[in-house]
Amino acid sequence: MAGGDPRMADGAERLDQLIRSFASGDYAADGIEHYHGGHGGHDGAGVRVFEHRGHRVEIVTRYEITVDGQPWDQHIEVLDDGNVVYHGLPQYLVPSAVDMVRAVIDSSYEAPEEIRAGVRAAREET
Amino acid sequence: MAVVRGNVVATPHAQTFFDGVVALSQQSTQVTPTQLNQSRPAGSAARIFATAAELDRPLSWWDLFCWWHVRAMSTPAGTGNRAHRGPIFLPWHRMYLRRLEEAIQTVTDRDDFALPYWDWAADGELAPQAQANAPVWSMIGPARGQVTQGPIGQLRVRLFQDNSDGRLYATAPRRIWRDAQRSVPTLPDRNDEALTLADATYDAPEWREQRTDSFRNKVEGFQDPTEPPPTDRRPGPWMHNRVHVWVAGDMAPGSSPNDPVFWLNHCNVDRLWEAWMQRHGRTYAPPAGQGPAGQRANDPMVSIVWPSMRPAEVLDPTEAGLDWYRYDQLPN
Repeated sequence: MAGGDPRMADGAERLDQLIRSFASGDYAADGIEHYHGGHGGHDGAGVRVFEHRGHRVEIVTRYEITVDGQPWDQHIEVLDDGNVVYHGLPQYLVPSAVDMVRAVIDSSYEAPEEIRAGVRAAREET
Repeated sequence: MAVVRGNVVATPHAQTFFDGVVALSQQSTQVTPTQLNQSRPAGSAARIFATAAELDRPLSWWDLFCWWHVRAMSTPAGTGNRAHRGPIFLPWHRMYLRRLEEAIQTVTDRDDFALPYWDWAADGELAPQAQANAPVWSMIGPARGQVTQGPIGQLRVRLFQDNSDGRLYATAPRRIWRDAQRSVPTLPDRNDEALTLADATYDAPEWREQRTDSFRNKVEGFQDPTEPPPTDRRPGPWMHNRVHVWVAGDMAPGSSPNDPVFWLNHCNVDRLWEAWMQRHGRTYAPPAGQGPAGQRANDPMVSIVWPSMRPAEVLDPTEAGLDWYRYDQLPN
């Protein structure tokens, strides 16, 4: 807490009380009951299922993507109209996997060096 | 005491917000990534990867709020996750924002503090080349590059969801960064806002993007509020999602609460929800026992530190039982 300001110390004490309670519960999240996802595919594939004039249709989409020759194996989900979404960029809704991978490169591969250095260091130890 | 949330470019609470953000980033929780990793399934996307030194370095309160967001969005629901891509989007973020508001009230000893909102639809009326120079950016740091100066120039964060492998990493303390307009050139505008608010249906089956015509789907940003014919579609995303994508940088991945702009954006989204409820009624869907699990009115919402709440409990932030906040002005 900055500067020994007694107002801040009082606030710090109140926050410490919250953390002690969180620690006493082994840092478990509350309301965390797990539910099964409602859609998605197997082995990284996306599955779109629909009926048209009484015919049941199933479209399975699976991408094989490399970046700089290295596999990029995250799951890209295809929506009904062909737009795609990706869990790691939860607000992106783009027309193709090409656009999504561009966004991944912009936001991760091209992140500032102080981020990339931290990520590299962690990978080297794990 | 219900506090009054105001526009970040006008409210005197803006400076308290910046002070509180920096204070929370300097305030240790004494909770380490190692301890958080022991609290949940090893396969979860909320597992933190780091060097041994960083795994044992306690996170700040600001970092812990960031981790909470990743924890919720890495927990599956009957559709989407427990914070996004479904009806839970609005109530979960309302609970989440209120806890940050309370934490800032505590750390600044200002019980009257109220989160500011960023009225981004106003900036969306500007020419595209002017949007990244709107007044909000002179207050909260530049829309492009690392934020090194100004009221949050001292902000340091540690978590980063790296989408080259999808993992969440803890690094040494670092500055936040933005990359505005790289993916989309414009913010949502007043027409988007008005058409979103005009939709009287909160949410509906199938409760998910592109299979639902609803206020929630529009304000979250998976549905074009102008509902154009297929031949005249605008590239998405829209509304809330578009603001994340427009700012980009730290606002792009699941660790987006790192950037204070995240909170300004969501405060405005919550304000739009409040405007919608005053117009169409304080209702929520799906009700208990119907619709996707984890997103129903009486399902518990994912929480850390503070007890969980249910969507039905947060529909009215001014009711006597909560007495949380109100907004100085709602869109017409």
